[in-house]
Amino acid sequence: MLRATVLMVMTLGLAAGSASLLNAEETVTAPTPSVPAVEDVKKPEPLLPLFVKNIAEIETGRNDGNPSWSRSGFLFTFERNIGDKREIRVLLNDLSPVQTVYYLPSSGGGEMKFFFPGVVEDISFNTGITWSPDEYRFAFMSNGGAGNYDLYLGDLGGQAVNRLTQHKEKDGQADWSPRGDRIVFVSGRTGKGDLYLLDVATRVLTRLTQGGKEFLYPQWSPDGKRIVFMAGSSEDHNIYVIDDPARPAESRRAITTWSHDDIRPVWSPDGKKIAFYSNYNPAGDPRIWSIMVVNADGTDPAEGDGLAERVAALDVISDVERGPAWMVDSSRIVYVKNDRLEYNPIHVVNLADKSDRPLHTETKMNHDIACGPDGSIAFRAQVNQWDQIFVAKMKE
Amino acid sequence: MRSAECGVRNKLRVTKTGLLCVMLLLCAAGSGHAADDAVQKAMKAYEKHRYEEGARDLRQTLSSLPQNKQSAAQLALGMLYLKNAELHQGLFHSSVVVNADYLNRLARERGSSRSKYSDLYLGLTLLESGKPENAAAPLEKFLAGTAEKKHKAFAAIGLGMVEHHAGNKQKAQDAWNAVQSSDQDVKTELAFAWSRAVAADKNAPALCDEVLAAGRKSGAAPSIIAVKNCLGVYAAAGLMDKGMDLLQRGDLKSHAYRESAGRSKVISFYDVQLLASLAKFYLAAATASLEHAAADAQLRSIANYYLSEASVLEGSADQAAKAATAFLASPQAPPQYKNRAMVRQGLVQYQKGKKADAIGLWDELTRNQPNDPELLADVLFACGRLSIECPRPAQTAASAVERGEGKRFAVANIGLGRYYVGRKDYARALTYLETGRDKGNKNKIEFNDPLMLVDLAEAYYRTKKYSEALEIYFEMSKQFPQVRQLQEALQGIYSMEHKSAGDVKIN
Repeated sequence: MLRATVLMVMTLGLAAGSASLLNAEETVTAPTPSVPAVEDVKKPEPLLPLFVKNIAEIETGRNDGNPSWSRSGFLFTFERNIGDKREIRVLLNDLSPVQTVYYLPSSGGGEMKFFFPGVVEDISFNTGITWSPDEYRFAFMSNGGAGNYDLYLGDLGGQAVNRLTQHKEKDGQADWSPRGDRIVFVSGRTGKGDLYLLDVATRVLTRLTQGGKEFLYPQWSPDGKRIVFMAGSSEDHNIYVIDDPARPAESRRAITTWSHDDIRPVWSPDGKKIAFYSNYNPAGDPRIWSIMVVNADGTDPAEGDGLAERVAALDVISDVERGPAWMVDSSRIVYVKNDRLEYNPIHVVNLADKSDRPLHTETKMNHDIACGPDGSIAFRAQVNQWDQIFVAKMKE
Repeated sequence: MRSAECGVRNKLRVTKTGLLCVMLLLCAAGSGHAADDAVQKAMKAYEKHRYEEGARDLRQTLSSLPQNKQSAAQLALGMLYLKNAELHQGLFHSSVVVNADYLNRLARERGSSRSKYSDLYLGLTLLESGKPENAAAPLEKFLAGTAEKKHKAFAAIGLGMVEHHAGNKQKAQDAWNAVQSSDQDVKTELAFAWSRAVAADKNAPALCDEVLAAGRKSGAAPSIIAVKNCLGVYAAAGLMDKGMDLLQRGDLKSHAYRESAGRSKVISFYDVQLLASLAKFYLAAATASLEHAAADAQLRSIANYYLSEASVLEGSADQAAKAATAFLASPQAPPQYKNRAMVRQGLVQYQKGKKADAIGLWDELTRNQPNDPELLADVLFACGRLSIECPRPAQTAASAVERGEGKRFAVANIGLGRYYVGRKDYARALTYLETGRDKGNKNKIEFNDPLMLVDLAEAYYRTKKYSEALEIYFEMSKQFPQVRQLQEALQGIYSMEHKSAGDVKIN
């Protein structure tokens, strides 16, 4: 239940103080996994990076997080929290700045605040950027400073922002179809959170799920034909795929059906696999999270030992902001190991032989891994208790 | 925007061109940033109460700012001038009080070392005191004595102004026409008199132009008398550029006359009207800048808010009401400023004679928001400004500051303090003002509203705490050298009462 609540809070922007959530997370005592004695473990050789660099000057007073690349890798974005406000920073892939997405229509363009000293600024919370296939446009979720979360449309390099949805309940977790015509998103307007399709040209909405439980984190397959998402309640979510969004109910199939909590599914870049976090683990401790990888076509078991064998990495930090991070070759996943002694290091697991090696970044309390099309790895890490974004690249 | 679109269009086709275009966009934005910086810097100066400095710096960069930043710059300039006008009105009011006291004491002295010029400057001060008829006696006394012709001319012009205020326009004209002098200061004194009397057949600005041009030719800085007079003339004529030029060249801390009385006594005299001229000039400059800003649809609503305040200072009740109503109609107006505009509407109603309506409005606002220190302070400022009794807001604010957390309610304490200054209850005013001001930086204008400090200094003066008042003026004079006239007068009173020069320096 707690897990599900945190998911909704963090991703639909209910928590204005998400920065403090991130910090608070670091103070929680991590569960102790059942592992062999230290002397029995032969530590794998770490992968040495070509470089690890911070993308902005290391500063206190703000927390940066949720880095991501556009599909082509031409654009890089991350989110910056200052106090209770959150803005999206858009950069070129050489990390030169392009624009800041901070939608605050109620401010009158800022002039009212600027020329009226002492007036407290409205807080706007902007998150979850998703790019159109041509990367000319983007959609994102914002409360516009007014407290109601809706989806908005922006242009690369432009300042105008147009509303995409308007409802008193929250809309968020948008993902723009690789085919360009539709955006799938989650809305609280029905049920506990249903999936909807938005036709970008006509703004016509199509409801994909019919309530009963919460439907979260939809993501289009790389070919733009299918949608993966998680659904469930309390601490029991499962992974589903809709094979044909035109027939959502008929074409929906379960990827997992067991009682473990499976969350935040992500397609592999080649569209053949789906990775997700699960609190299944051999120790049976529901506080320990794993990364699981299954065939997207449904040929893998949906439960039992057959599914249990699909564990790719054990004892991981489950970052709901991003989900498991696929390398572009679809053969490796980069994740954060739940290892407080090593300050939660970044690991890379090779899916073919399950070999798992740490990436030597010398950063601490890592989170929000994202992999770029050129093999770069972005993540957030703490410096003096403030979150900064780093980019690393492996030598190979 | 065009550069941005260029960046987008080329982005995927030719990456390098796209990069270049986006970078060009950033460079183009850079020039806008310089403009933003200038306005931001001005607004920082505004918030730090450095009105002179902020306006001077922004004005210097005005011509280099792009067209689309001109309105914002004019708005910031208007705000700075408006605050400066308000401050100088406050300083003028205090200076009349302190100088009238000081000059009265000097004028009452007897013996060989008695100052002759105290009569002239007492008369000129009383002319501005709201009871101009009281000025006649000392001015006539000065005229009856021996003094330089130039100064006798000042007295004669002053007597003409007494007639003018009494409604005897012809007598005033006759008095001024009788003054024949080639002295440049006298010419400007006449020009200002004509300007104040709105004499249609006299070209006061041309006379000032002539005098100032002659001074410029000789390389001499304009005298403080010329500055005082011509600023007033230019303000009335809307000749802001000429006034700004004059302000830059004048030394505002100069005395009008220095008299050696007796063997070791030197008395410096100042004309309180300098502060009134400055207030009028800044108000005219504020109105001009704010009207410029109001032409921009995006800034109109904000400019209207400040224009309504300017109209209140000017005494134009209808204009103030119109501008306040226009501001209140804006859906984006911040609630805090909406409250302030509504309080101002009450003030306008009061000025128009609808006293019960005004009090009723303030009482209702107070009843609806009894714990809003900003609102309570605004209502009390209005009452203090009118020197009227507002029992409900005063009681509500007094209860609120007793209950409330100190820092948040500092503004309500200041509101109460200024209210009691208006009510002439100086002991109570002191208690509230001292509680409300920033104690760590007690006389620094960066941390305290200088208008509050002026009220505080007056409360100190009225309760004979001269050292404290002088300390405030000393700090203020660093930013506003024209405060010198208050320092000197107060120092004079201090030394008369304590038979010492006091321990506070005048820079």
